[in-house]
Amino acid sequence: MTSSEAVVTLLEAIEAAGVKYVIVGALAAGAWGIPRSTKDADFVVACAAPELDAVLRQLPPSISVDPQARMELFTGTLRWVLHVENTSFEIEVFLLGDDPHHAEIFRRKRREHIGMIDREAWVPTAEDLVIQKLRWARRKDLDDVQNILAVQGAGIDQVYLQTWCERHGTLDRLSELRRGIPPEL
Amino acid sequence: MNPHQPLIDQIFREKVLRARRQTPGERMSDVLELSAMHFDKDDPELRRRLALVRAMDERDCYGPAQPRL
Repeated sequence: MTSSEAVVTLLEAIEAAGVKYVIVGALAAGAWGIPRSTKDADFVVACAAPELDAVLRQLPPSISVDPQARMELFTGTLRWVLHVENTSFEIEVFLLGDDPHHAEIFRRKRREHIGMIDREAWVPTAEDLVIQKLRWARRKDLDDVQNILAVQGAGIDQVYLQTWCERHGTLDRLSELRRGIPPEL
Repeated sequence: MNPHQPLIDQIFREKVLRARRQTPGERMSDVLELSAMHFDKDDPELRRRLALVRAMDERDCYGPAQPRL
């Protein structure tokens, strides 16, 4: 199974179960910024753990699930890791927690058609990805933020962005990344 | 100033302008294609390097939770 086939398999299983979701991480950042390779595809699902378990149990044996869930420390979100056989690619599935911004991500999500796999999928808006990645603030997250800001240019909703960054205390990071973008862009 | 900065800026500018010509779905397709090139292989050395990256992520961003479901 290839990484793309694994993404399609999970997408189909989640949608067939009627579970609300968004794709996040590098795949979603690529929707609004500069595409880069990633070692994993990230999904956030809005359901209870047993419902997710039922979805994961339907996956073929070529996608195996780590038995140990992990807790993401910024928002308290639970995460499961899926391994794709004969590849180094993984899929991470996060349960939607009660973080106020996560609720906004789902409220504003957009459906996009991904040509390579000929499927539509839900992704956060550019603004919500920037807000989320500024909280994580690993080097790759900050690079993604700068790329999204540069590619989207004036299309970004600045008021929405500022409001959430102020709540999260990430306005300084946002300003610093903006300063790194060549002015003509 | 880094003597290579003008070149770095030029490369960045070209990447941004190329991305602006694409739709969100086309850019996501590029992510999948690039990822397949790098990670659709079972390479022990690649696995070792990814395990190091994962360990850093786990240390910085994750803590233990209850066993699966």
